[in-house]
Amino acid sequence: MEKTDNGEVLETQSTQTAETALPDDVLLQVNDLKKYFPVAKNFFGKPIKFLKAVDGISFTLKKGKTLGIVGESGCGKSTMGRSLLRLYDGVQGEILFDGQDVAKLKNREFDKLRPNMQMIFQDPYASLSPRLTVGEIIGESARQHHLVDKAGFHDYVLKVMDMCGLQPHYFERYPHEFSGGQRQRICIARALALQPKLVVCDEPVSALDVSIQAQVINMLIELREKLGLTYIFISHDLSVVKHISDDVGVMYLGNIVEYGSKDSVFSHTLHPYTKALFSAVPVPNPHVKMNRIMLKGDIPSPVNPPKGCKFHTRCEHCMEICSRIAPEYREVEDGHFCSCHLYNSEEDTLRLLAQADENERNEAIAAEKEANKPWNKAKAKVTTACKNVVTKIKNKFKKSEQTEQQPQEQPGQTEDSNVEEK
Amino acid sequence: MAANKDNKHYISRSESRAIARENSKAIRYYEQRKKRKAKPDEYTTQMQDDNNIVEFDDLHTYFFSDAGTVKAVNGVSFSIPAGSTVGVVGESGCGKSVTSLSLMQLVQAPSGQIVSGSIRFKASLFKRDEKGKKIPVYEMEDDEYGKRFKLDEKGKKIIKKNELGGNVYEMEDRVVDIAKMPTEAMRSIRGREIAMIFQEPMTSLNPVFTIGNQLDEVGYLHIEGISKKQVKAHSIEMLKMVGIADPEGVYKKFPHELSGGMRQRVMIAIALLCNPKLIIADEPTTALDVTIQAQILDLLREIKHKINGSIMLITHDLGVVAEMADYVVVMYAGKVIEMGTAEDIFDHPMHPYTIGLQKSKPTVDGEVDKLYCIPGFVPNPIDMPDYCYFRDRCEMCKEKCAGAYPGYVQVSPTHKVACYLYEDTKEDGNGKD
Ligand SMILES: Nc1ncnc2c1ncn2[C@@H]1O[C@H](COP(=O)(O)OP(=O)(O)O)[C@@H](O)[C@H]1O
Ligand SMILES: Nc1ncnc2c1ncn2[C@@H]1O[C@H](COP(=O)(O)OP(=O)(O)O)[C@@H](O)[C@H]1O
Ligand code: SF4
Ligand code: SF4
Ligand SMILES: [Mg+2]
Ligand SMILES: [Mg+2]
Repeated sequence: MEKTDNGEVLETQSTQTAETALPDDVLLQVNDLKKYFPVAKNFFGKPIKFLKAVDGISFTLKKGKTLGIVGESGCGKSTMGRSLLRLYDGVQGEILFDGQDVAKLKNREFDKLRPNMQMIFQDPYASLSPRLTVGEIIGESARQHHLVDKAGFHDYVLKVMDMCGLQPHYFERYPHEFSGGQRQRICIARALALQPKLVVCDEPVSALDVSIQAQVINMLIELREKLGLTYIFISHDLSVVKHISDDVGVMYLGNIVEYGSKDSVFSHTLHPYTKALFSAVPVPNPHVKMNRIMLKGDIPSPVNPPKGCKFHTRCEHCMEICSRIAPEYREVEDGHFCSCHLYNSEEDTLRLLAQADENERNEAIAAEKEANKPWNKAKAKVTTACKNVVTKIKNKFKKSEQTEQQPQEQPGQTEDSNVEEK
Repeated sequence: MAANKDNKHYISRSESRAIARENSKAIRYYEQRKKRKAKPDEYTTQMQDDNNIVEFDDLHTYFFSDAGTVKAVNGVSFSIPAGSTVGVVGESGCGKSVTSLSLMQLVQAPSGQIVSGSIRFKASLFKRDEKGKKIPVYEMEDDEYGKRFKLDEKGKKIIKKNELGGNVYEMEDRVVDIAKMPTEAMRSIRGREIAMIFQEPMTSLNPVFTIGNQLDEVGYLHIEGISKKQVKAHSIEMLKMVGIADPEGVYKKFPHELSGGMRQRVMIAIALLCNPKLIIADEPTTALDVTIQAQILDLLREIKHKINGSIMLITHDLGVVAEMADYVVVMYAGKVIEMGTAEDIFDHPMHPYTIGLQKSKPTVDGEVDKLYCIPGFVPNPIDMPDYCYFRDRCEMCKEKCAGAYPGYVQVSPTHKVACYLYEDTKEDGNGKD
């Protein structure tokens, strides 16, 4: 929030510091990325409650590699992808792309960088303009960014179309004439026409049929090899992610809970959530009897995530410490990250418990301070007074035993009306 | 069709007019047939195999659209044995939903019509008197003269109540042909004997009524004579049965206040209200996350056990079918191309399409360098070729495949496939029989 308020100042400063050294083979490094959506505002329009869609994500992506992101819907996968491309305001954290901090660049400078980072979306029906021909759709932004001049436009677009398996005579046709699979190819061609280095694919095959999915996946892999592309591949389909990725990150409620090479994450799973997620995938073999870890209930709301480890409400290994303090995200094995208290050393546990104690003490003090404020004190008095009155009435009539819900509702109502009177 | 050579979907104005004329004629004919008054005998038939509760027999369901006739279901035959789960798989547009909607007589009319074939269903219907009224069962009592009707204070006979508090009527078991049944008669089967669960529960739940209202309404509709208190108790009982932890709370909520998984549970509860024999689940978990999908599939299995019924499970996910189904039906472009037990289909897939479908999906436990790709796409449903519909995409195609559409080859007692590659096996199979 501070950034947007005095953004001018920060931006001028950042131009000097934006050049950040990254190892040569690293294309993208993300440090503590956060994107909070305001969901409630107070009287003065200041946000007081946030939906923490992305809540502190860090990872490093090497050139030519593919990072797969999996997780249940609503865990913040799309928000993360879009934040990386600066499609949102108010993103916090560092996004180091090719030696520059994307988050701190001025708009004009970012425009120059924009062709390097492209995105493909899930719904190929919504993302294509119905009034332009296929050729125009594919070539339009390439021309805007001066990647191609007027004379070479037609040939350039045809070359890209050929790469994406689109026949030349589609050039003059309109997107509504095509099936979902063909449209997705058009979307991919549009992104590739800009000669990007990084392509964020947000559920690119989820809306397609299995046989068409295979065609598009094979094409994405072929293009990666041919053009040296780097992908972030977001999907809820674990088998697809496993097929296409080198590294895998598993998200839960805005955090990456496990991250590592594909092999280590799939064959040596650490986090209880990842284990449950993997075991839930149905296998196309009637003889396999799944040893399924059933997760209880639904994913909690990101507006009010559980305290401590966000997964503790559904975790079968939940311990006392889990509901008290969030686990640290750390490298448990070589290159394999995980945030779970199960992998704490004894010292870690003791340190974290001490910290939890301290936090709780501080919270208690803060709560007490809050309660001692004159307004809150008065409120508390009124509440107890109301409660007393209600119990008296209850005792008098003794009706309340019949239904359980009524007495609960009554105190609230009386309370409000009494407060108003005063 | 020759008017515009560039585009084979081009329709000239006179062609379009001719199509419209044909369509309205056909639609009028089928609509009248559905509205006719028919005696139950007219649509009573016999099961081919008494173990089945549903038999589709050469079912054709067409859509009479402006661009021509879409043969959405084009000669589908398979059966659902009692107490089993039958999985129907295939890519989108192959006619899975239209097959199941035909069974419910819910195909979008007037353009969509069951054109021919039959759907035999083992129903237990209300017995009717000459006037078409249901015949109630009355309470009896014994006295010294023998059995007598029990009377209430006003001297009226008392109708017997079942355990839910609904009236008991005389019933009869009858095998009906749903394809030939008038719409009126279908009412007593739809929702009561066959219930349906859809992919997106939000479209079938009414957003302005509470969950409780909607459950109760279905209860009133199907359990005649039930009292207000009893229907609420029954609704809450059903919510409990589908694993909702706080049924009284959910009863008071509106659909949008629930998560996708909870809404699907509510849909299952509504389906269960009348104790159906058959549940049709059309992509019940496609919109859900895998962890929630696992919960719902578990629930469906449990429910099937409890009501001792059958499930027709429609899905495009081979993993879901492998997990749930006893029998599998594979559809392609409105036809069944292969069917058999789950083991038949997954261990020995025979049709090139079934094989291709299985190879083109990556799995979590396996590893391949390159996914197999079925080339091309599904043919246009308006003018289907005369030869095998899969021929333009098939890599095992033989000379013979250019001929007529292949018939079924019975490769084992439970396994059937429509493909010329296995014609030799047919003779072997016949020899053994
Ligand atoms: N523009 C927005 N305003 C408010 N909340 C949003 C917005 N976009 C996404 N969210 C919320 O952020 C969370 C993460 O969403 P999303 O990134 O789309 O999840 P995923 O892609 O993993 O399904 C969800 O709870 C969603 O409701
Ligand atoms: N209301 C309709 N009007 C016209 N055509 C329809 C209608 N509903 C379905 N169809 C067509 O019927 C065919 C089968 O559809 P459907 O059974 O819904 O496929 P799926 O196997 O995906 O469930 C498709 O080609 C579709 O275009
Ligand atoms: S920290 Fe605790 S609750 Fe969280 S995943 Fe690990 S064991 Fe489960
Ligand atoms: S009949 Fe011929 S074209 Fe059709 S699936 Fe079999 S081999 Fe392929
Ligand atoms: Mg998303
Ligand atoms: Mg369907």
